[in-house]
Amino acid sequence: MGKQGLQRGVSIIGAAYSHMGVQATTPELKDFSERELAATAALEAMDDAGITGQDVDAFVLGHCGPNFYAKAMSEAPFFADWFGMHGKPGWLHDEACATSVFGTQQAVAMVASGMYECVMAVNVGINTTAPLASRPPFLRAPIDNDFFWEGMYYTVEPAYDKPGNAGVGEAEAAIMGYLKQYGYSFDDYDRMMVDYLKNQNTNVLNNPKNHMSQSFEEMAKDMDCDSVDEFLLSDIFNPRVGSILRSRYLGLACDGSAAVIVCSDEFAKAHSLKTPIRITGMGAATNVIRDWGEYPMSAAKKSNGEAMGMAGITGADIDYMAIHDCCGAELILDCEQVGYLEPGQGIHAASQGRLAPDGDKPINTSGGRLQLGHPAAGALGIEIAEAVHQMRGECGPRQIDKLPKTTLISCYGAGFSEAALVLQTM
Amino acid sequence: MSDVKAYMKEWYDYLAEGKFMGLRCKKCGAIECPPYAACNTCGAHDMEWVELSGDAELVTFSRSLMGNYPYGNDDILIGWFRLAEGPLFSAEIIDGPENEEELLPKLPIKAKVEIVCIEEKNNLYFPKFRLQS
Repeated sequence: MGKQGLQRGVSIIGAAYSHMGVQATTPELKDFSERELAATAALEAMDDAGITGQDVDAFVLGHCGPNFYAKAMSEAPFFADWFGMHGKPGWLHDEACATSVFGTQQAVAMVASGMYECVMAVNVGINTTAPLASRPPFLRAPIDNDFFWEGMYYTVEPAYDKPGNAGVGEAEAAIMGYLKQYGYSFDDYDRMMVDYLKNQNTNVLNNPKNHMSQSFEEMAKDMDCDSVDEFLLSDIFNPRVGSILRSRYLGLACDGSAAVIVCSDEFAKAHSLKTPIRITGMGAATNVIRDWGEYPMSAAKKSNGEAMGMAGITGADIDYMAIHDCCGAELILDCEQVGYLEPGQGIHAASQGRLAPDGDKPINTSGGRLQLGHPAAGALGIEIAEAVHQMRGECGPRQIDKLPKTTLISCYGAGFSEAALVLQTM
Repeated sequence: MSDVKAYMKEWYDYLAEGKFMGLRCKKCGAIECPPYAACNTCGAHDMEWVELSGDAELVTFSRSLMGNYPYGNDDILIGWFRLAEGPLFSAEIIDGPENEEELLPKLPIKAKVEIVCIEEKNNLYFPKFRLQS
C-alpha cells in the first residue's frame, strides 16, 4: 500500500443494479444482450447521481470470461455508446466474483490521482445464454451445465492446482480449518447455512430486483416437506456437492449487472443529488487454491487489513458488512477476522438473528448470492450499491434499523483475488 | 540475459522420472514447490532444483463430488498438505476414509507423497499423498 493513501477525497454519488434473472425468460432481461444489461445498471446509476454519460470521464467495464462466455475480446469500446459516452475511454477487466470491487478500486484510483473527475465502474454478466459467434448478440443459445463449469474450471490454475473443484474445494478447505479450531462439526456448518439461507430468503422477498418470488415455506410445501429444515437439509432438494457444501450454499447463478459512479469532492458538490458516500479504504491481494489451506488466510487478512488501516477503523466501527457469501466461508472467516463477529461465534450469528436488518450485525440485505443471485462480475457491485442505499436510508422494508455510517465490503473471486472497500458517510 | 527456464515442464519431467522436486532459492534457501521463476520469500530469482523428502502433513481437506476435471469423473478427496520443506501443496489423498469428517479432530496428519500417472496421452505425472495413520 502506498504510504500517502488516496491523494484526494473520492465518493460514490450513484449506484444501481439491474433486476436479476435469466436472460431468455425474465421479462426485465428478455432479448437483452450484454450491452443493454450493462446500460440498465449504468443509466440507473447515472440517474441516481443526477448526471448523464456526458458528465462521466471514463468507465471501467467488468465482465467475467468474455472470450469464453460472450465470444468477445477487447469489448469495452462496444459499450461506450450504450452509456451515452461515445469516445470516452473504457478499461476491461476480470477478477471473477471480485470484479466489481476491483473495478471500483480502479475507478477510485483514477479519480484520486487527478486523472479524471468522474469514473463509472460497470459490471455485467449473462451466464445462462451465450451469443452466437460473430452475430448480433441478441441471438443467443442456452449455456448448458457442462459448458458453464468448463469456464469455471478455467479459474483454477492448471499448471499446479489440480485437482481443484472450482468454487467448492477451496472454501471447504478454509472452513475445515475453522471447524477444527473451534471444535465444530459438519452438522454445525449445515445449521449455520440453513439459518443464513432463511435470513437471505426474507431479505430477497423484500427486494424488488429479485427474480425469485417464493418463500422457503412455500417451496417446502410444494415438495411435500414437513418443514423448511427438512427441505434445506434434503439430499434431494439440496444435495451435497462436497464434504459439507450443498448446492443451495453455492450461489444462485443468474444474469445481471451493477454500476457504481465515483467522483471528486468538487464534482459531487456540483452535481450530486444525494448524500455522497466516501470511499475511505481499499485493499487487495491474490492467492491460489493451495493458499486456502492456511488458516487463518493471510490474503484476506492483507486485503481487509489494508482497507481498514487506510480508513483508520476497527471491527467495532463497522455498522454493516457486505461479503461474498457463496459457501458461507466469509461469514465465519472474514467477518470474524475483521472483528465484526466474535471469534468462534460467527457460526451461530445467523441462527441468533443477528445478521438480519433488525439484528446487531446485518449482512447482505440484498439477499446476497444465495438468494438474490450471482451474476458473476456484478456480484459485489450489487452489494456496493445496496450498501450505498442502506447508508442513505433508501432500502424500504429491508432497511437496517440503525442507519449505517461505516460499511466494510469484503470479497474474494475465483482465481483467486481478494478485495475490500470501506465506505463511510462523512 | 534472462535466467528464467522452463521450470514448469522441467518439474513435470522430473515427476515422470518419479522424482518430487522443488526449486531452492540460492539466496535465502526457501523452497518453491510447485516451482516458480522467483523466490516468494525474498524475491530473488536465482533458483536450483532440489529433491524433496515427500514428507508432509495434511492440514485440511475437501471432497470433490464433481470429479477431477479434466482427468476423471470419480469422486476424489483433496488434501491440503504442508510439505516438510515448508510450502503448502494441494493434491489428492490416496485411499482416504469414506467419511472424511473423522479426519477433522486428527489434523494435522502425517502423509507421504506418491507420484502417479494422471494422463497417459500427455505423459503427465502428478503427486498424490497417502496418509500415514
